[in-house]
Amino acid sequence: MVGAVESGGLTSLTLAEASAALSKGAVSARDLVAAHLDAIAAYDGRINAFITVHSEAALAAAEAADDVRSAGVPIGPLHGLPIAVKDIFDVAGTPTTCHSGAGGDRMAIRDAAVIARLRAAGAIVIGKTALHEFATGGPSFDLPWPPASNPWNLAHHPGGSSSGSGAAVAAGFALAALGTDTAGSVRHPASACGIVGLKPTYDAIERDGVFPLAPTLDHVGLLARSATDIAILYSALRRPGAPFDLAEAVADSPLAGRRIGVIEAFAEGADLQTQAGFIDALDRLRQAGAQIVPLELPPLEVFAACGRLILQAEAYAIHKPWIDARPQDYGKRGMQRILAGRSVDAASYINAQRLRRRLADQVEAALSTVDAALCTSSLFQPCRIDDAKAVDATYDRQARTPFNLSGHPAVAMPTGVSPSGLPLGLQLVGRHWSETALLALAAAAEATFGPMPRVPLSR
Amino acid sequence: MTGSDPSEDRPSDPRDSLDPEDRAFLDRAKAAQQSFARRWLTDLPVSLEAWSPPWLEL
Repeated sequence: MVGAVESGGLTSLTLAEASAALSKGAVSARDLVAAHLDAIAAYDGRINAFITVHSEAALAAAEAADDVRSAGVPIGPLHGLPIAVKDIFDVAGTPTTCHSGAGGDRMAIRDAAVIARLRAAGAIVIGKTALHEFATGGPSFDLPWPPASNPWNLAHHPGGSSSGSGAAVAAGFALAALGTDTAGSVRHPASACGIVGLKPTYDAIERDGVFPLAPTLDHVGLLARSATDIAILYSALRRPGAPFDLAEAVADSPLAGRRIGVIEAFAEGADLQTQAGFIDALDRLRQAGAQIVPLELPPLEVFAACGRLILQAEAYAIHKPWIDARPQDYGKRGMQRILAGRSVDAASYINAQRLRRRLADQVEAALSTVDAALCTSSLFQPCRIDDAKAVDATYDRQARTPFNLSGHPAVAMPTGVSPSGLPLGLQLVGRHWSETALLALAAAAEATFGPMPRVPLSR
Repeated sequence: MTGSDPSEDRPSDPRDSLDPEDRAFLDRAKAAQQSFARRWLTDLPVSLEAWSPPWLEL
């Protein structure tokens, strides 16, 4: 295992722990931000989690945050906490590159809605993270910036498309990160990097100022090191009116008696280590008193094909002007994926939207019988980042897309480490707008699985 | 008056610049789209509800 988190240091804290330390005066925001910047400076040359690091601005913001706290004026729930942002969100005064030569000249003149909420809550944007080109494709080596690597093993894929966000949080470069999830792009890096990732209910976090991939499926999501951290973030960043009770989400919530529906079919075809990890996680939940029952949904292949067709059509519609005018600015993988939308006919797109609604209804009906659904997130351990065929297989077969189609909230969370030394995980899914109960359940499951080992230090 | 070559006004086709591997990828993608449409998108029942996708709701 290779990585960058110093055990016992400020970069090892969870967001909740760091917030508590700031409140007690045990640490300053400046020291907290400086520690994370030091970690980035020391280790990101190998991990490539960031496209840009806002060192000076982050330190200035941290000093201002300390001044505000000292003055005793009211502060937000994320006051002084360094957060990384996928470089697909507009951050005023910085380019939104979308990790593409085709997007590099777009300078954001205002913050995306969720960035404004992040700042209003007191958080500090420490930098903008790497992604797959325009949040599609996969790790590419023909773009202006290298792809992020997995801190657990630098030769391996960190998941995507919010690759840098996942790597940054796992490596201790930020307390949490924002990502986007159109076909699993928050939950995949969360699973691959051994952290927690939330794709909330569709539109629960505003998408204004976020470069779209496929608006029907696009979600803003969150990555952090614990379910409690995700709850704190979600509480601060959700759109007005989105129901959520932070106190309830972070309260001790026993697993005993909770009815969890397992979608076993979604694990078919998983590699042996993933299957073994999934079975072991189910056993531990059962031993903790959870009632595990089977849950039936349509075949994963139907969700996958429906999601792929909608994504291809919408992404091509968005990119057509650029891809026609300057195809040379795109990388090979991104170009392939986006051009695939040219062959989607209108009837197929509209009928795929109709099928999507029917699938969503079936997911909702299944969820109405249980407290939450549980399934795999990835079906394969993170593959080598330079193995294009294995990367493609990763995207062709995974259990995340169904909930982009249905809009249901889903949490990817770690359950341990495989014999290969890479993270194992699963996915919990709740009914629409059930983030409070879902994150409480995730926290209870987290307590059952025990703490993930930290990514060990290695320069 | 001599007319201009109509092909000069035609927008370039990004596919023209692709290598054989990319074209093969796009051919496979198209085949998969058509296969999915034939298998899953041809027998959807028509109903008023079905024709109110969220992106058309006001």
